[in-house]
Amino acid sequence: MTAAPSWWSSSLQLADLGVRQTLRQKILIGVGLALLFAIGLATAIRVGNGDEIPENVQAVQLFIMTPVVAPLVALLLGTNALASEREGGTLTYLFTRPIPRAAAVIGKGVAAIIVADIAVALGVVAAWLAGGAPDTNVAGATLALVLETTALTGVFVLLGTIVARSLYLGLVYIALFEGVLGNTIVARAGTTITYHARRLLSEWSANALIGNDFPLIYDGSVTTSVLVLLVVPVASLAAAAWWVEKREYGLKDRPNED
Amino acid sequence: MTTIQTADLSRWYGEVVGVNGVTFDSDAPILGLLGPNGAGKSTFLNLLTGQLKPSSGQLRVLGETPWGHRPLQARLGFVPETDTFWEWMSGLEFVTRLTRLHGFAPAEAAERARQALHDVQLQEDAWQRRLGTYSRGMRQKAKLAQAIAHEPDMLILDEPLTGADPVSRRHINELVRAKAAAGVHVVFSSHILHEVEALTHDIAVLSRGRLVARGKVEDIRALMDERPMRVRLEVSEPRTLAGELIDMPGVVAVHFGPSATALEVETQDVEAFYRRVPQACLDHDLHLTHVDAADTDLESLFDYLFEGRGGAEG
Repeated sequence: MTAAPSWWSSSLQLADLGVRQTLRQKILIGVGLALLFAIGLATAIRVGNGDEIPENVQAVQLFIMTPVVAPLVALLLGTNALASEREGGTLTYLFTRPIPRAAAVIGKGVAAIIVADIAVALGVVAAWLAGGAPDTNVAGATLALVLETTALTGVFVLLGTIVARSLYLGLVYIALFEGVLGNTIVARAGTTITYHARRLLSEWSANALIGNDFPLIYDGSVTTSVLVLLVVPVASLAAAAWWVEKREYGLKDRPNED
Repeated sequence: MTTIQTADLSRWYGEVVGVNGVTFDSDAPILGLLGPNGAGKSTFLNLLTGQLKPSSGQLRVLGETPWGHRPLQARLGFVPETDTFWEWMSGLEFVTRLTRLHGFAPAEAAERARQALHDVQLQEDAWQRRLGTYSRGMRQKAKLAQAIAHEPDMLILDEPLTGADPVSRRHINELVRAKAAAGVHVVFSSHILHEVEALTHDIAVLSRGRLVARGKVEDIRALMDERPMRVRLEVSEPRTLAGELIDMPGVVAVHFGPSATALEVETQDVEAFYRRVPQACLDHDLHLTHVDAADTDLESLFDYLFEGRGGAEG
């Protein structure tokens, strides 16, 4: 018998498990397809425009990543983080160890965020390489999109933890809340994650057209947007951890397996 | 020491009963939990391991309340019934990772994992292979290894022999006996009486969530002998044969149907019944086409205990 592992240690171990698990799952095919879509589009735009890459074309490339690719990658990996363990029945191994249940959520959630961030960052760079990027600050754009992906993945980890059909609900959330609300109802745009990502993109990508695309909604401060994109994933993971810590997570729906 | 104490323990899933009003204490080195599928065995074991919270009643394991009790979880080793793994892991990595979650340093966890895999007699050349390539027996052994690597005070095994081949069964049984001999308390579930008998004589029988018998295997055997047996017959004139049999000592009831020639008799003296039937057919020139003992299986015993002796402790 030895002392139970610390909260920090068990979370790290489970994050490592989560990353390795994610890299072996079929869900990565969906992630790859989303990234290929961005890279393919960037390539098509470049082929269509020859060597002259106009600034508005680069803006289109960025905008494909912000409302479509990054949310889809976050959705696939975030909702799958704990749901894969729950549906696979492996949670029982974790929840019969002397570790906080919350550590499983934090560990798996952080793993999903790491994989999603790396995937999106690689996607941005690959799309830029494929599409050409003479004037845009790729590092700044990548950072903005990574922050967006982090926030969205956190939200989807929470969604995947508390509801069963999280993938479908997540799609509805992306389409209606992030899409419709964030792009059409200007007064409410500040409540969406993609709004704050675009705010940072307009500041950091050095692409003037992005800032002019929706001039009415780009009036918040950069600091506010950064804070929102950092607080949202932390709060989402904390809420998911609290949910699991207080409940009989993963077994409750299976009364007849005796 | 009383290792398991329950008092009116219940657990519901909405309107579905998992465990219903179970009360018993156990200090047996090995306790067998016997019951058919859906009896509430896994629910009971999940309550023991603190994965489920009782809906009502009391439960203590090694003197502690399991739900949310991490120090107690450090003293338990659990083998789940579900055949689920991180299939991409090797057997050694599987056991090592789960042992590390008990607070062991990486090197010690790996050493303990190797020892546990050796103890469950999983072939060494399979340790580095993916779990997805393991046979069912090897998977059972891997599950058992992760449950013993941290040297728990109590082993809780949910249907540990399911799917295991005869050699694996022998290995698992030997290991369980050795652990019990070394002072580890063992609780295991099964729906097969002879599996339970092979490991212990101390059993609790669950049926439809209720404790329907508690005691020695011999008590269950006696119950099997004393309860009425149902025998189905197909005969040319069932009412004539029924008239002959109804007054026999031991015959409890006679039912007709479902077909026009079918007859079902409940008797507590099967041997006398089998001697009498051919003679009755000869006496009345009846054509007997089929005789079948309807409930020699354990399931019917569980039903009998539930309906007639529900809640009784033997």
